[in-house]
Amino acid sequence: MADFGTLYRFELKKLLQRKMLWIALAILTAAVILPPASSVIGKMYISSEVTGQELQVYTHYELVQRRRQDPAGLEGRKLDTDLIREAIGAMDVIRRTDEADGGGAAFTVRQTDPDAMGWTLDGYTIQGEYWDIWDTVESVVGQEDMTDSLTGEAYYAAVDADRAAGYDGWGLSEGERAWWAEQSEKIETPLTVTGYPNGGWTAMAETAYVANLFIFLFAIIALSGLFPMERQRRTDALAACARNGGTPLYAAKLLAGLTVSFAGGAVILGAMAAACLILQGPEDAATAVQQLIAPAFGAPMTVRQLALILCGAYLAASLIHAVFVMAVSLLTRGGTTAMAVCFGTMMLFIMVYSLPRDWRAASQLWSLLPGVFGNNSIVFDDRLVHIGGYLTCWQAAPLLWLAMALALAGLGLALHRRTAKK
Amino acid sequence: MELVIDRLSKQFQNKIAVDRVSLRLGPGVTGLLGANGAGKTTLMRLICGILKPTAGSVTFDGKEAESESFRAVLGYLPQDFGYYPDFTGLDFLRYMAALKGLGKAQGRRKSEEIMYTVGLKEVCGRKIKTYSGGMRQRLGIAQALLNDPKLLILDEPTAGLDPKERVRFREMIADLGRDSVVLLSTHIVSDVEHIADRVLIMRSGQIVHDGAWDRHEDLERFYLSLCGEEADHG
Repeated sequence: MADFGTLYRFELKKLLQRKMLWIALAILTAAVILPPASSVIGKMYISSEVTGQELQVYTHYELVQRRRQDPAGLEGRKLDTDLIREAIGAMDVIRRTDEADGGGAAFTVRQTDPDAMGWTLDGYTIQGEYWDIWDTVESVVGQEDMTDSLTGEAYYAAVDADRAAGYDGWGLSEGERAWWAEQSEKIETPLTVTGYPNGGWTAMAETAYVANLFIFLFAIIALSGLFPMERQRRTDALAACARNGGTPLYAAKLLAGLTVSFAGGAVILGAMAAACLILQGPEDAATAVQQLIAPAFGAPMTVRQLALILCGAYLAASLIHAVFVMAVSLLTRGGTTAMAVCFGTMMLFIMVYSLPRDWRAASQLWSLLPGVFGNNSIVFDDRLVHIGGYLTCWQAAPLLWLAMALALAGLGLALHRRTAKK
Repeated sequence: MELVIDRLSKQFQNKIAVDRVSLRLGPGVTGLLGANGAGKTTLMRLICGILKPTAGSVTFDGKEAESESFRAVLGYLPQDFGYYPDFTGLDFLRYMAALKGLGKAQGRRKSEEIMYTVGLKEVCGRKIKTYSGGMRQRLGIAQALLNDPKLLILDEPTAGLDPKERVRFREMIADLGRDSVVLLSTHIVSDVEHIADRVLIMRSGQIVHDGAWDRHEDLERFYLSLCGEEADHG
């Protein structure tokens, strides 16, 4: 009986013995921590000119932690007329103070009325907690309408109008609009806000696409030489005339490559998630995506759900990245060439993050590709895929990737068999 | 037990590397002599099913060279092949055993046995990158023997061996020839002289001599008379 387990174990060992793999994983893991870490790196100076006291220096980390520990004054409040007007009033105080002070550091560190802002640091307000609410509302209604006559009803009407305009922009069919309308009804309005909306889960959602690129890069570095190495080491002849040198060897290499890519993906995503949640806290788990990230998004979803959807999708994408790299390496028959082709493809995905929406099928398909998914609009592509029922982009993408992986694996097998015999 | 090669040809673009070779080989050691570029390695790769012939066929006891059953009885030592430098000798053999379709327990047992046979038992746990050229060559032979091959194709097996190892090797190959069809390619005439029951001489892709060899005759002189300048260059 063929010993597939031993074949797989040794193929895995060959991969893990490559120093390049470990160096790449270490560098990429360190690099993926940088975006969430950057928000806590550095210092904030509170000017003695403003304070009239000794110069005080806080690290950003200290500020974030202080903010996390601060009683969440807005926790559980409804995003309604009262809250919107409070936010507008509070930000007017900040703006006035900033203008009186000559500007330069508006909305960051201002001496202002601690009671109005609700949150202070040694007597000084750091980005008042109304800021996120003000910013979200302003992004929907526009700055001209940010007056104390704005009502909650007017805000939600503007959100609905934005949503409808978005659907027009995506070119949704009537069926898709009806599906989204059904979802939108499940969103409870007025929204219940969380006191600390911009924390670790939000950071995870915002950093996930970078992690996806790093996972792709890791697969390129780790796997582009997996098949060509036999030719380079002149061990291909031994495999070519061995009984299991065809499909079983291909399957063992493929499985070893998938294992390494998946494990590398888990390490990179795990490091990113840990950095986000440790440094910025998990307190925003229940924050609705409509509170801060996407006011007009048409389905009920929290930022934790969003972050987990993205991380899950990108972990799945690690497998398609691996199959793609291995197929390219079989096609090009050279590790360096394969690396160049795959890297070029990755750059293409980064730069051409969307196709014109008029080309509905092509642009939707492009947006679902594993290197593009989440680049343009996180997961907020409202176009649905109709297979029996409707699937959202984050439901359809993994299915597409599975089909692509199977097709590429089949192509790889044919190329492996062809390469073994000239 | 018979290897049948029928009008086998291989053409690379404008060059005919193997030209309508027909042979029948039975148990015993057959030596294949020829200068570099005569087509020996191409012929061996065709026999092993690594290269696809332009024309002709190779069968062993009726099994075609591309079939799994052919590969199950084949042992091949390529002329120029690499190893996995960070594998231990034993790991390499266990990997090759799995490639050859041996079960886990059988592969482990056979690998240990063969390490002993080729005199590498003491160093089986060391990484291959620490092995000498001769030790690597012995490891190459060891992998070819893992599946108890009935057809053993050895391409320049004594290259890189010191005189003492070469003698030991010849004896091992002669032993193997009792129960298997062994085709041994070399350009070192004395190797063939000592162990081959039958000698093939190849020139420009063709077999120019095929016959038993009287060990009292001077094979080198005969070979030079047939291959002349080509052999000098080889």
